[in-house]
Amino acid sequence: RIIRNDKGDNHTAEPVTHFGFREVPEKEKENLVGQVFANVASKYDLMNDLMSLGVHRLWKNYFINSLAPGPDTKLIDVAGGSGDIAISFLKYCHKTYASPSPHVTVVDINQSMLSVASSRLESLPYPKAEYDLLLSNAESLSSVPSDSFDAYTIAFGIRNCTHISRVLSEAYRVLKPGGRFMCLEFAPKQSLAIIEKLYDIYSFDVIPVIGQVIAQDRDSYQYLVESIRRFPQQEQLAEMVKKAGFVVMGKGWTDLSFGVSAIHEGFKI
Amino acid sequence: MNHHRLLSTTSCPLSKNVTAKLNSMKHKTFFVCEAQRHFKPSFTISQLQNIRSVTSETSTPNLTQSPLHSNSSSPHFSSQLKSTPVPTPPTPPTPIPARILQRALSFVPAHGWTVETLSKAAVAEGYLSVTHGLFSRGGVDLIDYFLEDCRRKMIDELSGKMDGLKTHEKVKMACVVRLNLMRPYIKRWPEALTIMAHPSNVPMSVGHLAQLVDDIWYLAGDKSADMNWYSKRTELALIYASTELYMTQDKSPDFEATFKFLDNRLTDVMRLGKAISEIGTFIDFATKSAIGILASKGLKFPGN
Repeated sequence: RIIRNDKGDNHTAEPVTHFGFREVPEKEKENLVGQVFANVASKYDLMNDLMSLGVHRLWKNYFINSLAPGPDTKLIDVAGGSGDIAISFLKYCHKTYASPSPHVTVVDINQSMLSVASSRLESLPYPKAEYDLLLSNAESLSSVPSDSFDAYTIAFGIRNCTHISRVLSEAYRVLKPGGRFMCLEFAPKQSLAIIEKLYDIYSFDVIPVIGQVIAQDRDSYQYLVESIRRFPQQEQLAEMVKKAGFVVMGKGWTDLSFGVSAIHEGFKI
Repeated sequence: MNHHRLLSTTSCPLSKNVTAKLNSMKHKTFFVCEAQRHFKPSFTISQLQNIRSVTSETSTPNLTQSPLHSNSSSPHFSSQLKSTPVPTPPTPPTPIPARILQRALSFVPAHGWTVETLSKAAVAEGYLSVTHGLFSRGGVDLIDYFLEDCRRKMIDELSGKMDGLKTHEKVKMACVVRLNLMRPYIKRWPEALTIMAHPSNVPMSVGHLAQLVDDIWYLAGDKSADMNWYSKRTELALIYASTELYMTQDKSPDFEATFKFLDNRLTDVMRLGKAISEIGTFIDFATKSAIGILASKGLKFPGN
């Protein structure tokens, strides 16, 4: 999609993308998203609790149990600024195995989110050698070598990326053969009409207001809610995962909570 | 007739006229009957024996989700034809999940029907431990695959060996062959039975049992087109399931006691079957005699 500038010629036309329900030039989306997350970083948990009525903790638990990592799994958790998945992963490994040697690399494009992850990981009783942090764009993990991770997870981050297909290609590149891609994200289409209706009302009428009252930031929450609606549907995302080269089992995704969110999975085999 | 399903080979007896018509067709198709709704789609025996007929004649629209049927011109087709399909088919089709499951069977005696077994098998095949995620139901997928694999192996082993035997001998031979396939895993089978008994897995396990007994009767040459079709399969399902259960706790050398148990059950049924049909004949005779006597006394019956 392109827009023409005022002069009407398209020498300087720029590609556009969606930012919530607005149309913005592609180049700007990253900055705008960055601002959103800089604003919500300190209250990220609150934001997630609002968006999902606290159920996101259950989803993330299910996500890690489904991954069921081995004693020496190397995980790259992208857009994992809050540290939720990384912490869950380390806890699972230590709880399940006697002497595990897991490792997780938390990647985020936003420094403030990464600092949140850093402080939370430091407060855990696990050795520092089991995690590290990387400031990088998911669309181009240039400092990550190819074929280097067992599993790649991206939880509630992929809808904020400008080019989903680039994220998926990078995911494919950094995974070892046999590697597993898992994506947990809000889904735009629910499987039950009544849930869809209730969720719509809640998303557009309640969440931004609460955001305004508690965080004095209606716009960020408005964006977050709108971005879910603009996200590709489960079938479309599964197609994109296949296009990136992954092998997908069955239909490729599992709906959680009647399709309020979904886990997409692909294998590099 | 778009009920074509590549399911079992014998016809449901509910529609005799159609059955007669279908019997003349090269492939025995059958309509989805109440009891068979849970069948997992798989190969017909005639297809396993005649690959060419599948590639040239199969044009059924409502094909299964198995990749084996979805693209008959795929280069993998004839090799996939011979190998057992994975419960959840991969897209794009690839033989790797099936290979991992096949390898996992060798880890079952040591680690059971678990995600751990699948992890170890994935690593043994050169992949990673998290690659077990290919099988979203974990051990259940492995059991599903194993049951399908055993059924195919049984059919393979029996082809050509059933000539000249009587029906009940054929049934016995099929059961023996199928039970022998359980030998390496029998110590871990009780765990599998527990898993198969979970409500969410019951359709899968019942489907496999139903398909197994149907195939055994087909191989034994069953051509019944009435209620016998159901009673034969129900009886055999009960016999087979109870023998398998017996086998899990059998400590006799070479499972002699199990095969003796099977023998006894099959003989019982034959005797009982004969007795029931004798009882039927007797009741028939007694009723007709009673009617005749009463009619001679002057009582009027409709039809007299």
